[in-house]
Amino acid sequence: MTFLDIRNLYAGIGEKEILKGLSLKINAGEVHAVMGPNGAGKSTLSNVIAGNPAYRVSQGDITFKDKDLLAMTPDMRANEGVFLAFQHPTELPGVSTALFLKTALNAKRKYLGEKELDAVQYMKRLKLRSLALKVTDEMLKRPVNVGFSGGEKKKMETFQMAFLEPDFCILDEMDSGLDVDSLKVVADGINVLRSNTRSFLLITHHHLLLDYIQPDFVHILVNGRIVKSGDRSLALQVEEKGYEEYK
Amino acid sequence: MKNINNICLVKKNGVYEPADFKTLPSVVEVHKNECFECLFIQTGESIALKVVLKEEGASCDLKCVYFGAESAQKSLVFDVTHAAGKTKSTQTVKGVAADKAKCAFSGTIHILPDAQKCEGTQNHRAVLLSDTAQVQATPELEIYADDVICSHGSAVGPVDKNQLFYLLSRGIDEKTAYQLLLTAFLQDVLPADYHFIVREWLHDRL
Repeated sequence: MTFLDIRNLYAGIGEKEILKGLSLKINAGEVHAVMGPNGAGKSTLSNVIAGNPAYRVSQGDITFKDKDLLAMTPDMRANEGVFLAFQHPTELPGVSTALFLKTALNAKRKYLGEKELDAVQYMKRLKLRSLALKVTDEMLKRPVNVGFSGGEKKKMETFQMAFLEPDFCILDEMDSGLDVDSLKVVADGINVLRSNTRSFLLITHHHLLLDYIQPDFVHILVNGRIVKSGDRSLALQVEEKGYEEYK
Repeated sequence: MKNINNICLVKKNGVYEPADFKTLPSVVEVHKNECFECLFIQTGESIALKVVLKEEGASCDLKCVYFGAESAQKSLVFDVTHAAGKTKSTQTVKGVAADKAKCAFSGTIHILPDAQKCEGTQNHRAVLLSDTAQVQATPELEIYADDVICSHGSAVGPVDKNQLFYLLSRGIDEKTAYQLLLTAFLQDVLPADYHFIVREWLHDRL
């Protein structure tokens, strides 16, 4: 089944066009990596898929499981199964992480016509997922992302992903700001979520993350377009030669 | 939540208790070592409160959370006079304005010539939910004694777009997202028992 289908996408911020005719198709169970130099449009791509209103789409379309994604509000996209793990997760002072997670989970269940979890079921689910990702009770009591180190923020993004169980996960520069140990914890957290009914889009500018999370497909994004696609060996070529030949 | 009345709470023995604003004296006088603490939840008309700290050791803590929507025009006036030395006052005001509402806060701290070693602080913050909502803050400090500590601050701005998008991106609908952000913004002033007002007030908006 095709999950994400992007066709000839043009998008940007304000007057500035950043994506210029990007096409990408991701099927259920696949892990795709998009690599590219700074300014290629990687973050624009993830924000446009998630529906950040700061970005504008001028041409092309995106469907998710054959539904028109661009016609949906960001919360609808999330409840349809799209999850964006942010490069720079936003701090929410005064909003407790526990309340935030519960609100998000129940929003999705309500959208899907399922009953809200009661307190016991909710705590069970929370414990199960937090242990694996080394998310402490103390982190859950704090306001969302407030006072978290860079590594803790990325763990929390991965934890939210595990907790909300989306079908399609976009990881925007998941490796930035992570030391090797934290990267391993985060990568392990992601690898256990891999299944033939869930797909991933890894956005990165170097190959290190791809040593831990092995993608099925690698795409090179330069100047707003995908200029080359291949398998994992493409990431290794980039490591050796850089992006120069694609510019 | 239309034309709802303001809520006035006055602290007695450490607990806020509902009070009828109309029964408060036109000028609240605070005597030696007493403390007058009150909190307004201003969903309705304008409010003006005048407090005089008459004797040494007197203090007051004035708080208000105001909500303005549609074409409402309302004001909040806090006027505190330090008439004796070693008196202390705080004014903490937070507001939310939506639609075409015009809200004004005017906070005055007078310190009379003989009122040395006083402390007066005033803090105002407001969030605008639309481009057409307006908030005006006018702090006024009239200080005639030279050994006092006084401060004031005010900040008015829109809801943080990144915070809003973060919540939406987790499947939380816009109204609930605003509710979470506004409750978080107001929670240091608004007691938990009254958080429902944020939800009810938002219910008619957006």
